[in-house]
Amino acid sequence: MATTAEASNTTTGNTETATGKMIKIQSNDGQIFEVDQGVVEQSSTIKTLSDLMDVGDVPIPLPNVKASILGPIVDFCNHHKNDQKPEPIDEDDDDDPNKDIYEPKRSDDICEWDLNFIKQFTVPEGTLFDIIMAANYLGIKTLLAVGCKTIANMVRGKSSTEVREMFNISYDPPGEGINAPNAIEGQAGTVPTTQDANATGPSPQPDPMNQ
Amino acid sequence: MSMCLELLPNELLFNIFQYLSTPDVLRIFCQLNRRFDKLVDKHLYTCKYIDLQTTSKFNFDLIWEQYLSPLAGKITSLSLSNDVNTPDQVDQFYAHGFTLCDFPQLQYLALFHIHSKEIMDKIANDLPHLTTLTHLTFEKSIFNYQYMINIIWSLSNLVYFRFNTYSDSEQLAFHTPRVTSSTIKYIHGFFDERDTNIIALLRHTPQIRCLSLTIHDCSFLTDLSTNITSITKLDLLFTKPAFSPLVDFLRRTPNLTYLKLDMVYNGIHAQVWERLIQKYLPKLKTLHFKMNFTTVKAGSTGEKQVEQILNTFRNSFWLDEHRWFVQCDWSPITEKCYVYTLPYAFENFNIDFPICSKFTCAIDNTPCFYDCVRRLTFNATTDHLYDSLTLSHIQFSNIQYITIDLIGAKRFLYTNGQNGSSAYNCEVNCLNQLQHILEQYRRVTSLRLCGWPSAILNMPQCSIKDVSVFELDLQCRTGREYYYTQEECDHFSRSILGIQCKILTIDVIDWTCVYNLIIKMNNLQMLNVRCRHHQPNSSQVSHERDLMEWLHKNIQDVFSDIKRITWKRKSIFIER
Repeated sequence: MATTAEASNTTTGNTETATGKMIKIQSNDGQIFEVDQGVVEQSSTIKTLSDLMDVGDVPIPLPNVKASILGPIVDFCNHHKNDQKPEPIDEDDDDDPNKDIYEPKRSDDICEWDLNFIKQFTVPEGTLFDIIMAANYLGIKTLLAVGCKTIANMVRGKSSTEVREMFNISYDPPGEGINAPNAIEGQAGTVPTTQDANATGPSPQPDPMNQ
Repeated sequence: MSMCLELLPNELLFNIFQYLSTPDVLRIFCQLNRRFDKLVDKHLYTCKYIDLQTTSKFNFDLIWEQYLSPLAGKITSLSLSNDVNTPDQVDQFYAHGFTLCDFPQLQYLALFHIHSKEIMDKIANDLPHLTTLTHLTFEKSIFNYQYMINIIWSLSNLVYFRFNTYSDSEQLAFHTPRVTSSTIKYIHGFFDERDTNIIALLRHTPQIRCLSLTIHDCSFLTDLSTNITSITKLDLLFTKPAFSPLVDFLRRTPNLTYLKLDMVYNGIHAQVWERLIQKYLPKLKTLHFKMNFTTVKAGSTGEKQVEQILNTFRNSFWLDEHRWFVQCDWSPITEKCYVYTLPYAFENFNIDFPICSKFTCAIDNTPCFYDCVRRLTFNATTDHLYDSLTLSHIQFSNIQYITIDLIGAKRFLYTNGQNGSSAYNCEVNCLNQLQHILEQYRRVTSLRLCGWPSAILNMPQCSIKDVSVFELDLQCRTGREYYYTQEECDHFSRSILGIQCKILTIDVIDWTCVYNLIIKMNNLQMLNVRCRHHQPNSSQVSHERDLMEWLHKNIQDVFSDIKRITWKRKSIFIER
């Protein structure tokens, strides 16, 4: 049975606020969150769904996100809803000398609030990856960037052995990949820990939010 | 089952790779398993950039053998660096039989820390073959050859040229080209000096749109009789202590839409700005400036004067029409006063007094105002250092370099037996404050302590934690040198900052100190050292060549992880 999150102000009907119409969204475990346009604008998925569906009082279902992740995401969007939008890129402006340059993006520019926000999600609990997956599904670019930058900052400067340990990354099955007989001698690891037959297959698309 | 990195789809792993340099992607994700190997391959093929800065020799060989050769024909962006981590990288690049001509699709080339004329000549030979090159950067390299500039100006598709070079920490100019480029639009790092002239540069660069320019005190700024109409974005550092040449120059740039102006010795009053912009810079949309006013009196009179200055920036032109807001930092003690636009748009921020601030806008976004600042410099006497280090109302979230330059004749002078003295207490307070800054700003990697030799020895190092500093400069100004003794070097090498230090600049008593620093500081990769004598109790002045011979002889004799020590660019490089 659906329950309404404590963060919501009301559960009856869509309300009009200073920031416009309120919309309800529902996590995959039935919790309902009420969000304003400032939040909706940050999520391309919620925006598309709310435009497409005549939602009325019916909450928009978000089957890929559980409440424990959706709640903090709503907090994140609420915090950032008044952020200055980046200036639109003028396609004709050839004064930007870097527009065609391929180089690593910066990851040292996460603001203090976002740094504290992302700290509540961890690798051992898997919640850091949950939030990245959810940000990707909901189309919240700023949150996705914060998540990916956090991972990048965690691994920068580390060795593959350290990263394997940090994220419990599997070895190839015996006799395959880096464990193949002709693999480079002395490369990381000798004892396969996980046998992932699909390691080289198509991109895995798990749905951890439903688990 | 909880979520883990491996369960992320490829697109998100590629997204993470985008925030990492090529060496990091290779070191971290190669040879984990077959999926990651394939992802790395695909990433390198699709991103088309190879950034070899900070890569180790192992990674460089791996990149060379597995990736660079097969990818060379497709690579569009290449960065090579002879920095402290890879002092021979560009030499290795050529030693592997490569030339830049092997990269026929190259659009972006960035070269760092190249100091050898031989290598520069090889690059000069290759450049004319890079017909697709649009962006060229030389950072912290030393080249100042007329023929090189002419070659660069002859590149048929070059749009962007960045030049940033130093000799003994003094930034150098590059020559004015003698050939004309019909493609270059963006130049970063030109100096108008005696021998390098802005007018000649513009004559040979007719398409220029954006210019980063330094006008020095020795600049003549002659022949400014015609308007410079091509430039729309100007980043100007004006160090000439004269007002009218600056205004005359700006009057000649009627098409500016963006102006960033750092005035070291000048201040332009709000009314003059208004007239200048309305009359001569009608297209200006973005204005960033930093300027000095030195007429503010100390004490409460000063505060009134600051208010008067700010009031001139509070009319509709500034607040409504353009929404340009300014801040004034002044000292209640000295007569110094700085006025700058918000957000602060410059890389350097100097603090030479305890700061009081007033501004013309409602402050609701203060934490982000100083995000551009990378270098923070404190110039203070011992009396004012503590107050200067207390920065409660300004947040520098991105600073990487901190310099503390203790000025004035007085150091923290006391002897070991005077630990209760006021000088000692004052120093301890300052060190606690410095520790707080280092722990607060985790991105600080470089710390320079000039004129404060006891700091590194007295810092409460047992409690210092989680700091990122790996570069330390402990040399004092010429004439006020402080030579660390063997005992002090030993003490320093065992400290937290000493243990994690990779790059060290220091003056020591004798060669034994150098030896001890190299042996005991396990992370040390580069040592820039001056010795007073070569042997203990000797009065003989040391020479680098003799020092290196002595080090080679002695370091071979003991067990250590040191593979090689070499003398380059006035420094000792240690390979472990």
